Amino acid sequence: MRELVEQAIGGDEDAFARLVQLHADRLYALAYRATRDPHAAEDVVQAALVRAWTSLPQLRDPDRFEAWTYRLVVRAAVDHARSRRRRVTELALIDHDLPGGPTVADTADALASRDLVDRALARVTVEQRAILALHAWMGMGQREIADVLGVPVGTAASRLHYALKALRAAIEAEQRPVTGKEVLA
Amino acid sequence: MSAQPTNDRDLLALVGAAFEPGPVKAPASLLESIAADVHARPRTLDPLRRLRRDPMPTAARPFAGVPALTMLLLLALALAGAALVAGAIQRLREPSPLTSHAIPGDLWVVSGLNFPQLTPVDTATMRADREALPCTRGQRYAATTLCSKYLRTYAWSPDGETLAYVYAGGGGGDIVGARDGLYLFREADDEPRFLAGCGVVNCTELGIVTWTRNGMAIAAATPGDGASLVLVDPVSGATIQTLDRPGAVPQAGWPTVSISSDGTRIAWSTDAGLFTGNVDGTDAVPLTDTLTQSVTWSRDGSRMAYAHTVDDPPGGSRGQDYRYVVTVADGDGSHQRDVWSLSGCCHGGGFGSRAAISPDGSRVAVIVGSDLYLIDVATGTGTKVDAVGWTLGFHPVWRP
Repeated sequence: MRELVEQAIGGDEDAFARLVQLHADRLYALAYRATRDPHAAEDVVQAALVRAWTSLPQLRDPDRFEAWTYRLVVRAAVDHARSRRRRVTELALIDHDLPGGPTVADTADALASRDLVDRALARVTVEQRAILALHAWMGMGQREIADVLGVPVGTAASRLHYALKALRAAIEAEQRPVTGKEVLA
Repeated sequence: MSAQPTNDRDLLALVGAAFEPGPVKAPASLLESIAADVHARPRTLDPLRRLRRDPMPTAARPFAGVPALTMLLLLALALAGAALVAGAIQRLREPSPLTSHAIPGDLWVVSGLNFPQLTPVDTATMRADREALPCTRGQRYAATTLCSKYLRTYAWSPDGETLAYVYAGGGGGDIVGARDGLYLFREADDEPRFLAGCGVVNCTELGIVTWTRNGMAIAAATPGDGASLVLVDPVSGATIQTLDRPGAVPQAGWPTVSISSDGTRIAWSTDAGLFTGNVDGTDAVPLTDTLTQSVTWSRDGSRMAYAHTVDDPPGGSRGQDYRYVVTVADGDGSHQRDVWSLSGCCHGGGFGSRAAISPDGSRVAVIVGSDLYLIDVATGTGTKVDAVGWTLGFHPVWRP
């Protein structure tokens, strides 16, 4: 892996293509969970990896390649959301039909709770969704999240705290009756 | 309706479950798209790679930045005109000068005993013009770092428009208040522009300044004992890359390091002699086994020249007489051949200058003592240029 990164830093496109193959799935999965849109996720991963290619000489430690690409994905997702904020908001409010479905082990309560959280996730920001995905879905600790985001551990912990707080607020909002004004907002 | 989890752990478990559905595999079309995008995008932060990918200097591409369609139209018009005018095609095939300089002079030296200054020499007419640069204004000598006996290494940019030089008075220079460091000067400007200090570039005359062939960076040796190079952005003055691989390049007694104009090779001088190798110091090839002035390359990097001294007569004791020898080789150091020498030149151990090979590789300029010589590489003929006068033993440089 380190050797591939060093070769890519040296301008080897084949080595970089191999790195893309190794990491694209995880990056795409993260991008999808941050954006909740498969097309946006593709755009985000493409932007992040092209940025990775052009900025690779800045990567001082080849061993940090993976964390660095996660950071680029989170940034690209935030940038993507900013540029298409209105459209993303509309999609988040009306698109609840995510690919995949409940497993046989899902109970009715668990399914309802998961659905509630899923809808609430649509209300938080892209960066908050990305942090929650890194922590709750990818299993990263605060130190790893800090490494990915390029921030101190305390800052990562703070952002995770506020992401959960925002999610709780979103869940409360989901539990209130939805008004027409809210849908059109 | 489901109740909200009361603690973070339960909530995070639900978040994880909510994230579980959804794709975990990137579409194949995405990978293909990324590969195509990467292939189409050149690196922007690797100057050496850009040098190799884009060896043609910007100034040599007069249509750089013009849309392809417009360029095709211009080309069609040019070809149509050429068909109507006899001899036009032949003229189109001839290389045209990159730029026309207000100050004639393809070879530059520092001359002057009391007030040394950079002086252009027109090698076609062998005329020198000491009034060319704004050093002497009326009867008063201009107080600028460009006109100083503390002027060190200097080099013209590939388009011949900008002079990069190092001024180093060591705190006691002849220009009051001037900072030591790397400067840029353009003919159109009144004053030189300070670019980088001596903490970035080696301010001794051993830290050779060279422009990379596309004019993107100025290469110079870094301060300190190690033989290493730094590339400086001529616009911002920022260090854009340091070629410093400890252990790869032998520690130099004299850290004379130079880079080829195509950015693919370096040469460095040590107590053990002169070496050339890749830009990271690997694949070193010895050129001489004695302390030697460093290398200059032709514009396309295909030919190099260096000067060194040998005992005169051969086998004589060092510290007596020397013979100053100019050697020309291929760009990688192979096919060395001595093209010119001067006996009895360096009595007492004095050194001649670097051998400055012309951009086209056909001539070499050297200063031995205070005399400037032009050497024809093909014939080995050396011509003393009398018009210059006292040259103080500085190094000659060519202007493209």
